[in-house]
Amino acid sequence: MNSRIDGIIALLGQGITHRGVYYEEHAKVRDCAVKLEQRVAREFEVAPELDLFLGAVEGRLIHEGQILLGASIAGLKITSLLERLGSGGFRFLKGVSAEQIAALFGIAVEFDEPIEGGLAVSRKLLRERGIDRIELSPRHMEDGWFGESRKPAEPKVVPGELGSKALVGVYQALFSVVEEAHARAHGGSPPNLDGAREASDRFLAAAERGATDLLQLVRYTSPDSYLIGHSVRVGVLSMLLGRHLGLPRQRIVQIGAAGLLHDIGKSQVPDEILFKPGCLDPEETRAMRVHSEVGAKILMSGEERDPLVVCAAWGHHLRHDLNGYPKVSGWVSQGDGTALIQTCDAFEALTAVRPYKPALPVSRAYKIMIADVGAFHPGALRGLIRTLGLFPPGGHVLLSDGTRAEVLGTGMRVDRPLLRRWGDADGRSLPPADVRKIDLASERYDDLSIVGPLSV
Amino acid sequence: MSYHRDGFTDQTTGSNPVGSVDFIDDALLNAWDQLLTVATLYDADNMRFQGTVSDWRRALASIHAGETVEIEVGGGDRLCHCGREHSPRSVSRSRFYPLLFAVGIETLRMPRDIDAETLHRFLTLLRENGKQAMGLGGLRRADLSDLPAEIDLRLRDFSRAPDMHESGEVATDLDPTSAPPTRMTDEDLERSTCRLSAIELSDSFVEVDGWQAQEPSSGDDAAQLQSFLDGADAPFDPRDPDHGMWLGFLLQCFLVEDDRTDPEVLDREIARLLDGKIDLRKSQILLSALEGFIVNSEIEAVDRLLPRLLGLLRQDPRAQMRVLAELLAGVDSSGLEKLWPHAADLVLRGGPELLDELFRVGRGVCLDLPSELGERVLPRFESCPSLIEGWFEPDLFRPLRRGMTSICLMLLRSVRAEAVGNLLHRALLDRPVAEPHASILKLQGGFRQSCRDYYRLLLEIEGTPQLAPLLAVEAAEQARRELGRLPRNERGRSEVTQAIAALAPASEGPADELLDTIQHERRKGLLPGWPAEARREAARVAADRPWTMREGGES
Repeated sequence: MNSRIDGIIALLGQGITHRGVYYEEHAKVRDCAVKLEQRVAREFEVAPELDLFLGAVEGRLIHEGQILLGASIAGLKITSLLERLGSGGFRFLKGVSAEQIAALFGIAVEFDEPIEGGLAVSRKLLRERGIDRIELSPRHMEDGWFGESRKPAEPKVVPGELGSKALVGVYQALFSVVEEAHARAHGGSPPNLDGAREASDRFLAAAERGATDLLQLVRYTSPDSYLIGHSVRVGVLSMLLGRHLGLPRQRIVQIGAAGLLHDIGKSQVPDEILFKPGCLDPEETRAMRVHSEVGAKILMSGEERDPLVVCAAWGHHLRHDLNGYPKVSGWVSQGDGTALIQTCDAFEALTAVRPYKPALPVSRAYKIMIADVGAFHPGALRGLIRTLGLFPPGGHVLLSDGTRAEVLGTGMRVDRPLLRRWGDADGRSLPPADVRKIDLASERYDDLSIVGPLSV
Repeated sequence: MSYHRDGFTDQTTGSNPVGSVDFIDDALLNAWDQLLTVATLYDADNMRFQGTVSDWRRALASIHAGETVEIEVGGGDRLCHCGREHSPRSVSRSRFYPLLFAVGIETLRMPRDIDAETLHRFLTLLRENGKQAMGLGGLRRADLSDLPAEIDLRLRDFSRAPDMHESGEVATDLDPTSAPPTRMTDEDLERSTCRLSAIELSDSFVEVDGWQAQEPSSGDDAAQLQSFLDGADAPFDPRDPDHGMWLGFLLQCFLVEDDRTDPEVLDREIARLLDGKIDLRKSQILLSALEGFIVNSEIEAVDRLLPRLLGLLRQDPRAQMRVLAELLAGVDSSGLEKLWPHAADLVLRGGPELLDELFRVGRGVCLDLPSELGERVLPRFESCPSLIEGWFEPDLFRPLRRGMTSICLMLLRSVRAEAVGNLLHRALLDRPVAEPHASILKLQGGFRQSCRDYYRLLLEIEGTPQLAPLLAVEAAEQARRELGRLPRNERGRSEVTQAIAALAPASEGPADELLDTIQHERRKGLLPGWPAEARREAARVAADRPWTMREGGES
């Protein structure tokens, strides 16, 4: 069910975002509403007795007692709407129509301050707008909270800061920036560069506090949301690489903003091409390939133009040997900042699920990238591998003695990172006193090795 | 259909049992790939799909005329259509083959005239089964219960290794019930991705269907990575601002005149980037961009954009001249024709210091324009701002620099001949020019339209001594005119004698009359009209005239 609820969340978030940019009857808004209506209807077809409740607890979305970390990141629009409505969640009832969903999008945009009178007034408002198949729950910890029967659980693993409210906020901000930038770009407006820099700065502050599990927190909530999730991950990867290289803070923030906005040109590519579950034909390929130039032009149209942000959008499909696209004149060279983002972009795309391909293992991605001589700046590629290793920080691994551990950072060798052992051979969390940090590269742990990654 | 694939070549000998060693071309394989793609996007009755089916039929017809299509699938990227084999290299790149292989199809038969709807159903079935099969390590028996009746296929026996018959290389422990899926997945993943570039893979231009990602952690991987990491690093410093790329981007937008970018924004950003000292890197980019643009663009585009771009270099005039000098030296004749008016205009608006800078870096000859280009360049030159304005800095022409010859000549031919002529008059006197020209110029007192050719020759003679006879004839004509209209009270000027001497090469006729007048004119019937020195010189010149000598000889 989780992947399906993720899809519902993604559509709800997208619908609210689009409604903020477009008029009510715009195809983008209507499309989200209709798709959401269909998804909800499908859920009830499968399980007529379903309680389709989407709750919010301290800024995180929950469903069936599970905190939806990835979805929470993409769902900032939803949690903040619930906050304004004085509500702890939506319950979708069987028969909810696209019109009612579109009306909810409208409310989200119309009321940007908390509604005076709280939940009671909000419920009345929904009724007045003809929304009778979406119910508002009291807040968590208040009487009658719809999620009472299924208390929210913490994530199953014990991943350091993973899931902490502050960190979710950092990621929500990154998602929000990208999502809004794409929506604005689709409507012909340039993105908010300051917003991208602020979100990057917040991320960097979190990374500086040692939150290494950040990267793992970002995942695509559905194939439809890969566009936003990819940009966030590229931004995050680029900043981690920038940190590893010891770049000044200001430059890392600039790189982060460039990573977040590098794919903004895809806002102009038709969805049927973007989300096509197969390889593109020549015509579609041409349409897709203009996104880098279109992105650069969008970024050029703003009041402020950041050279790296524009160059990254323009040149992130340009190989280091200047093949690739867009076609550039012989006198154009690849800047090192752009090379960094291009490398992270390709790595992310290789290791992530897309509608047209599965995720490749990290080691396979490295091999492909190394073998593709001329595609990447060797310095950037080496930097990326040194930053992430074979087991990227934040991930979880199974050790040869059966215990489980979280990857805290890269070690002296790419396959022997710094770890924190947190679980026993049965997957149970160890008592706090037994949680140990392990430097796998030290001689002390010669007998211990990593069997493989664990999925969180 | 036999398990033995008759169509496959013997890998050891490169031939097959029927003697054919040529692989069939990729058209049919591409047509299958295209069918698969389009079938995922469109329904069977969609025009696009129908069109793709027609393409597929055409591709099929080119290799086979029978009523049944037969496909044989082997391991190691081997695929036969109707007994003819595709090149393994092409097969390895196709999307069709991995699906057939993953589903476990060994042989497949279908009618050649299969209808589009049935074909669509089959492709959908194949795709769905392929994804599932590959997700499970490529060894899951396909569920083909919905297979259209028109299609007959034989599946591989999963108790044996795939294509054991042909290669005998594949391990025999690949039974789906016992083989660890990850092992097979890694191998096949390797096979399916090893020939693709990272960029292609990371984009949606190629497809890697349904592979389950399992993370290997073998020592080999780590060793390979470590070896790469131990290599020497190319200089990489993302700390540096990407000014080179930024300038490259801006220039590319500027020069292709992309209508999606506001020209004012581009001007502003380029000017900002070039503000202050332009370093070597920026100069190189600028130079390369401009040179390529000038050589490859139409004159109209050059006239439209080049002045704008050169103008953006105003903040660093020395760099402006450095770039200009290199450009002038680097372009061919065609490029020079496009560039020259704008270079000249920049010089005329720049002042003497910049001109000297240009000549310093351009070794003084950079503005030379071959005479044969003059006619074509003139109208464009006349449209330049400096000529439209029509005022020129006098010090540009004083002293008269050698490198300015072409500009002066073009100015003399232009609508601004008079303005520049007067400046040139003074400049030629300053140079100084040799006699009798100095005297003639002094007698002229200033520029006249009728002097254009004379000035031209005076300017050109320095570099082209063979023009001397022509110059002498032109000087004689100018001298005759000046002497003819010289007021009586100025006949005693020191330049008169030199001017009379200049009449020597004049053609027969008016010059002889003038010489005669100088010798014999009488004021009030008594006094000589010309000073004695002038009369003596006129007599000398007249005596040396060939026809005078001839007449004298006869008498």
